[in-house]
Amino acid sequence: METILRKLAMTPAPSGCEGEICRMIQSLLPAADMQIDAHGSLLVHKKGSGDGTVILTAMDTPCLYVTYPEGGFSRFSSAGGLKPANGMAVLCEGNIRGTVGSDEKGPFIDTGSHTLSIGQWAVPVPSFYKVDDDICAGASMGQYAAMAAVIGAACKETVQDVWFVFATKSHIRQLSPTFMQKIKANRLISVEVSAANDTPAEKTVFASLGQGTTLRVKDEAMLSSPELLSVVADTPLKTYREVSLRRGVGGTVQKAYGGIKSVGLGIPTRYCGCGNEAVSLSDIQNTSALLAYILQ
Amino acid sequence: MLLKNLCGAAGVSGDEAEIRDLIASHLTDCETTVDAMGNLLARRPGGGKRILFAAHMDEVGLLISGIEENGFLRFKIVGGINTDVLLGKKVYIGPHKIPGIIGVCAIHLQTKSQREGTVDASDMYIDIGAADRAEAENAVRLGDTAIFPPHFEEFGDNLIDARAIDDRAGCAILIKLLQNRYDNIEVCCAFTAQEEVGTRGAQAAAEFFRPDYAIVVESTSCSDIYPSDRAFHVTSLGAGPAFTFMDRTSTPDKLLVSSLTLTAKLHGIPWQNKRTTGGGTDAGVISRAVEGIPTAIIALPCRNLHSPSCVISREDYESMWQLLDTWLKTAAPLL
Repeated sequence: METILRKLAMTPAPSGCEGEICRMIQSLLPAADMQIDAHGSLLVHKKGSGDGTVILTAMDTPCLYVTYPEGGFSRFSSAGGLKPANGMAVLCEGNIRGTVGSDEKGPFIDTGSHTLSIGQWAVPVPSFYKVDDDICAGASMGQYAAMAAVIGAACKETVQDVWFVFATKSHIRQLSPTFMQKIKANRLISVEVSAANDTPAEKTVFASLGQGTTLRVKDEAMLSSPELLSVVADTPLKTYREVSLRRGVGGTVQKAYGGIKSVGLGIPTRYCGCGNEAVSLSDIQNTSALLAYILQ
Repeated sequence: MLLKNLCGAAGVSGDEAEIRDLIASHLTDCETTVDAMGNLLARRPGGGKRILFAAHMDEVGLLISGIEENGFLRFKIVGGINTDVLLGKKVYIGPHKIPGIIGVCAIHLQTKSQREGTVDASDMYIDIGAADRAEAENAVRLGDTAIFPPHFEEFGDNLIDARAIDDRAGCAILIKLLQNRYDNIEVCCAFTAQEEVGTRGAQAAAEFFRPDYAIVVESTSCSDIYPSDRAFHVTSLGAGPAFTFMDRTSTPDKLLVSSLTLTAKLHGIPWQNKRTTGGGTDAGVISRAVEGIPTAIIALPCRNLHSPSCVISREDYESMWQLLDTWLKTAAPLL
C-alpha cells in the first residue's frame, strides 16, 4: 500500500487536467475492463455476481490556474479550495517550479525566468514522506489515500459485480455523474477525505488517524443509507461514525438518474486543504480491506 | 440590423416569448420547435457530426412583486444586476410596455448609513404615475417583468452600446449560422431560456439534440476600464472573442478549444483567453448532459455586463462570427 500511495502522491492531479494521474492509476490496476468517459473519469469494471456496486472516489486534487502572466510572475485563481500561503513551493504545468508570493494586488506564482500561459495549472510540489511507521504526509495526501484504498480493493479478488470509478473535476464541483448511464448497479460506496481533528487542544474529536475508516452518516452533500451503514458497520473491520462538515463526491452521484442507495466512507486526514496533509497507512489498508470484504 | 432588432426585444428569464418569436421569424428556412422549458430549438439537417451551438435568449431584468396603496410598484431582480445601476432608470413593464421610473427615498430624507451604503432593491420602487393601487393594477399585474428601454448606439472606435447584448449577440450569430449552409456538418442551435436564473433551460436542449460537440456562444465581462489593473480585466475590448479554459460551472474540452483557436490562428482572426475562472454559462449543464458532451465556450467581451448600457466592439462581434463560420467550413468536418 505504501508503494501505491507513494507513486500516486508523486503524480500531479490538478482538477480539470487529470490525464497524468489517470494513466498512473491505470498502471497500478490489474488488467481489467477499463474505459474513460467524456469527462475523463476512469471506469473499471470487474464482472461478477449480484446487482452491481459502484466504488467511487475522486482522482483530482485542488490546484491553481494561471489567469494573468506578467513575465515571471503569474496571477492565478485557486481551484478547489487550495489556500496557497506565501512561500509555498508549486509545480507548474510543463514541469516548471515556482513559489507563491503576494503583493498589494494579491498572490502570484514566481517562476523566475519562465513565463507561464493563461490556463496553465500549478499544484503544491508533489511529495511523500513518512512521519513515523504509520503516518504519511505530502501534498493533497488525503485524496491520494482515497485513491490508494480503492486501487487496493480493485487489486483483490472480488465476487460481486463491481465498477471502480475514479472521477474527475470533483474539487471544482464539476464532477459529472453521466458515467452512471453506462453502469448497472444498485448501491454506491464513495471513498472520501474526512477532516481529522485529533489535535492536542481539541475537546470533541470527530475523526482521528489510526482508528480506522469513518462511516459518513452525513456530509455536506449526502446522507448515507441507514441500511448500507449497517452493512458496513457489521463487518469485522475498524469503523466509526462521523458527521462530516466537508463535501464528498458521493452526493452528486447519489441523486443522479433516479438515485442510488449510497454510503460514504472517510479516510481521516489532518490539515485538509493546506497543501500538506497527513494520513495513516493503517487507515488506508483498513478501508481497502473493508471494501474488499463488502464485495465478497 | 439583426443585432439591433434582437437587443430591442424583451425577454426577461421565464418570459421569453417576445424575443423567441422574433428569433423564430428569422428561421423560416429551418426545422424549429419550442420545448417545455421555452427553449427555441432549430436544426439544419446535414450529414456528419452534429454540433450544437447554444446562446441564451433571456436577459436580466425586474419582476413586479407588489403594488402599494399609493400606486408604487415593488420589484425583485431577475438574474444578476448591480443595484447601483438601477436608481433613476426608466423601465418598461409587462406586455404593454408601461413606462416607469425606478426611485428611492429622497436623499434629503435618508439616514447617514443609507446615504453612504448601497441602496437595496427592496428599498426602491417603480413609479408608473398611478394615483393609487387600483389605477396601477389596471396597467400592471403582479409577476409582470420589466426591461430597460431599448436603445442601440454606435460610438467611439467601432463600439456599440445597447441593452441585452448578453446574449443577443450570441443569438444573432446563431441565426447567421443557420442561414448559411455547411457541408458534412449538422448545425443545431439552441436559443436557451432561463440561463440568467441558473442555466435552467440548456440541459433540456442538449438532451433533445444529443450532439457530438457543443459550443456555447456567450458574452462575458470586460473590466478594462481600470488601466493599471490589467490582471483583473478578464478580457480586453477589441482583442477578439475570448475562450474560457475553466469557469465556475465547466471546464471546456481542450481538443475542441484547440480546434477553434488553431482555426483563428491559421486565418488571422484575433482571439484571447479569458483571464479568470469565475462566472458560469450554459456549458456546465450541457457538458454534463447525455453521456457527457465535449463543450467549448466562446464569448464576446462586454463592458458593463448586465446593465442598461452594455458596450461591445463591433470588430470582436465580427471576429466571433468569422471564426465560427470559418471553423464550420474548415475544421469542424475533420472532428
